[in-house]
Amino acid sequence: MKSIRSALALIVILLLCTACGQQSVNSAANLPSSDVPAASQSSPIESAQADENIAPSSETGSVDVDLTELSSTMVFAEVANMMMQPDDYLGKTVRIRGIFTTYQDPQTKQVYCGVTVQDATACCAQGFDIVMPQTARYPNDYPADASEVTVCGTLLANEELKNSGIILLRLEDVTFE
Amino acid sequence: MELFDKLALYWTYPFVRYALIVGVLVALCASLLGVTLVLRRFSFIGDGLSHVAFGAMSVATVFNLTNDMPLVMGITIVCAILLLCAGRNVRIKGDAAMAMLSVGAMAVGYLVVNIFSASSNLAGDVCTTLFGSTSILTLTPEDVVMCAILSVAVVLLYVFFYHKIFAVTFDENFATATGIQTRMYNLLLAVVTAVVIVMSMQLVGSLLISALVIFPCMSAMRIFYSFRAVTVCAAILSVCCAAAGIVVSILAGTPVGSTIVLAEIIAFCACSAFGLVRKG
Repeated sequence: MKSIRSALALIVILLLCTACGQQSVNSAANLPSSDVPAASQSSPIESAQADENIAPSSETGSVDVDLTELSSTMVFAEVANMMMQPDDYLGKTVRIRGIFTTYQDPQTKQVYCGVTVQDATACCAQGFDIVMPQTARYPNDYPADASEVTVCGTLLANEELKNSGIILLRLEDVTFE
Repeated sequence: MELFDKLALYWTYPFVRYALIVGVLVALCASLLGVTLVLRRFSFIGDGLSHVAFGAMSVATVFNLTNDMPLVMGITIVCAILLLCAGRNVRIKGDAAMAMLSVGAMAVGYLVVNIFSASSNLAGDVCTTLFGSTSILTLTPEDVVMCAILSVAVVLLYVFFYHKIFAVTFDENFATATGIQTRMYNLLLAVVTAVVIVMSMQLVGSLLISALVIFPCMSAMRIFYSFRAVTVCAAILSVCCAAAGIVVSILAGTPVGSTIVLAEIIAFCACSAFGLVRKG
């Protein structure tokens, strides 16, 4: 009798501890309510280059690495992998979501743009250099400073500071969504 | 189904697979070690040694070492030996020695990194090391292989020397009297502790390592009373909590280390409740 009670108690405790509800997981990536991205149903990576850390291609357009589909932890892990192994990602089309920032050099009047991606604890952040389209005029055609943006572009390396051992990642041919 | 689709998508990322493999292996080793450490009243050695490893990592960063593992592992092993093999005739006893080493290494490490480091995101680097928010998700295949080799070595050591470890854990004097080389086994335990702590830092960070060591053992002890049963139960609980923590963290976007510790807290509460019901 005692063992039956113990077994029942264990079952009740396990049921209380499991998430059996229908509520979907909140993701910082804000997945669209309609289409589940085709990448989530596809089998493993189809890229001919077989780059190990690349996300599977999405069938929605020509995006090779879509960070907007991922949770914030996965986003930062993917961004960290981009920083550590940039060669696997250069030349790929990347879609990211982050905070848009601008800086205008007071002497040259050159405007520099970037998008910052933060991690789940908000203690770490990684920025991407953004090369705006030639036709865009500052500030009218630029997103608002410190606004959250979704941007798609080709990932390239900015080697201006290569002599200092720093390689920045930049997005070119960008489009804002 | 959306949840499973998301999980299936994440599974296609190699770094997620690496994280799960290493997370499970590290949790297994930490739980095996935890039973011995908790019973010998060395529960907080995980904290102490992880802070020493942080200090060593900071020094390695300043010297721009491409591979900091030899330096970190070496210094941590030396400190583990000093703490665990010091014997009884020392002026500074176990807990005080541990505290001094721990805070000293932490302070020196942070100071060194602040003065000499060329990192563009110092706070982020330190935060990642302390809390392990994403470091488990940035492993290379070489890291996974190294971790697998070390984990297999730890498990095999534990399996082959189980009876000796059991004897040294419960009654060191009796073990010495029966001819067991207690100094050698203490040294072995110290080295294994240091190795497991350094591996665990990647999973949960420096500040949360004690959870990996303490919680599985304490949870198992709510239900079982023999050394073998506690060890097996602790290993199973630790592996399940680590896997669950990693999966939940990548789905929900929470820090990995904290989520694993939360899973272990839940497991501890469940085991405690079950233990109370079984007694009553």
